Amino acid sequence: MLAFTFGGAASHFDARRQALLDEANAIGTGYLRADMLPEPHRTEIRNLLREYVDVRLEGVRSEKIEQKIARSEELHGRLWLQAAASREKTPSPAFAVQFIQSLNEIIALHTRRVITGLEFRIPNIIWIVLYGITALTAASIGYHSGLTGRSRPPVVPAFILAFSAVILLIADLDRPLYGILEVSQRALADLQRTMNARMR
Amino acid sequence: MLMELYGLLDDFPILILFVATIVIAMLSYEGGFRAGRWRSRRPEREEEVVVRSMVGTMLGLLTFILAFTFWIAATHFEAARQSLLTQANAIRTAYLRADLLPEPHRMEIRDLLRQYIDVRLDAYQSGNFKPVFPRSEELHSQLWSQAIAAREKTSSPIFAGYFIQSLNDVIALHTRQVTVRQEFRIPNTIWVVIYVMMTLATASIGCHGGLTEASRPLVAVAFVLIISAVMTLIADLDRPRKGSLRVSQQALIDLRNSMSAPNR
Repeated sequence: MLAFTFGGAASHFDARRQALLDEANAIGTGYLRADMLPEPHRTEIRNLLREYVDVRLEGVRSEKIEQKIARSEELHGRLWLQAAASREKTPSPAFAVQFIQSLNEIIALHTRRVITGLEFRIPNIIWIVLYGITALTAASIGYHSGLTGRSRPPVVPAFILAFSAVILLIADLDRPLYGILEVSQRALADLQRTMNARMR
Repeated sequence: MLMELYGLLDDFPILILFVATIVIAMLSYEGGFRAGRWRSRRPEREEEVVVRSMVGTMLGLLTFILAFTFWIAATHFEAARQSLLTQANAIRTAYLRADLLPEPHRMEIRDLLRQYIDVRLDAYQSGNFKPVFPRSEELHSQLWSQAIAAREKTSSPIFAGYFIQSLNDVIALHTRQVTVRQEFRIPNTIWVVIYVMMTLATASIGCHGGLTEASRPLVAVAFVLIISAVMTLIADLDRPRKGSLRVSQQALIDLRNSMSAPNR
């Protein structure tokens, strides 16, 4: 039971990492493809995308997650307006379509990150069962040794430590934001650096 | 801070890691054995059955955790292999599609793509991956400005669009490669827990042995060796760039060879 829950938590952790990586890639592509749009939309879109990355990075660092999600959705709307406006002006609609494609991807990945980050969690009922089983197992082992021996065997602390370590690990893997284990934001941070470098 | 820890672990040769794991396991077995023997001399003895069932449960837990961690490491290794293959394909596609662009951009782009692969292969051969990231970024922006310039000159923007699409793929796959290699690792917390559990389990087995027998059974050595071997294998799988298990670069080498063939 513990082992399977561990497996589930570990794969959720991986899903969060994967979503972050895909998002960084989609934003990077969108940023580059904005090059193909006419001014002033190009600059406008790039500014919006830079702000978007800043919001994403801050959202993970600060505690105002809800606020950052709302801000992200607002930025999606503004990006979309810019894309639609530039499509009407551009001489080559094929390029505008390419940009729109990657914008759609950015928006879809936002949803995936929110879902994997906030909802891919171990359900409460599993936690309850997990703690119930652990307590019962420990109690029955204690009962067993109470029946047969007169003192507590020295293995008991080792046994309890091992179980607690695994439960701690599962809880830590399961926490999207405030654990010892944090999904590394490196891909997004690198993107932010590249974007700023290209600005100058 | 985390990065540094990974770096530290990576610099550890795999053989030393193996020996260190064996030593830790042996020491904890010995400690447990002595504790058990000391307890067995006391008048109020524990029943051996209780200890045996606890040891059994701990071993089961350790086995499952090791199995899952092994599975995670194997998945990451597979991801590293896959992402290299996809990258080689994307570069090949971009190289072919450069044909659709007007000169001199075509030649320029092909030359840049060749350099792009060389940077990677050189790093793999020398084992020094530091210059890959900044150099790749530089090449990306050169490729991109070539693509944009070509687009403005070409009579058929659809073709330029194809090239731009595959250039975007190349860039995105670079990010994927970097992330898969550096971040898709077994988290440090998992390592700590595995080692703690291994120590506790071997100590308990030793304690059980000390309670029941007078001497250390030979099977204990086999047990310690097996556990250490599995843990070392996980560590080896977890570092795709070093150790005895490395991701083969054959796809990139083949691609590079086909590129240096004279055009037409």
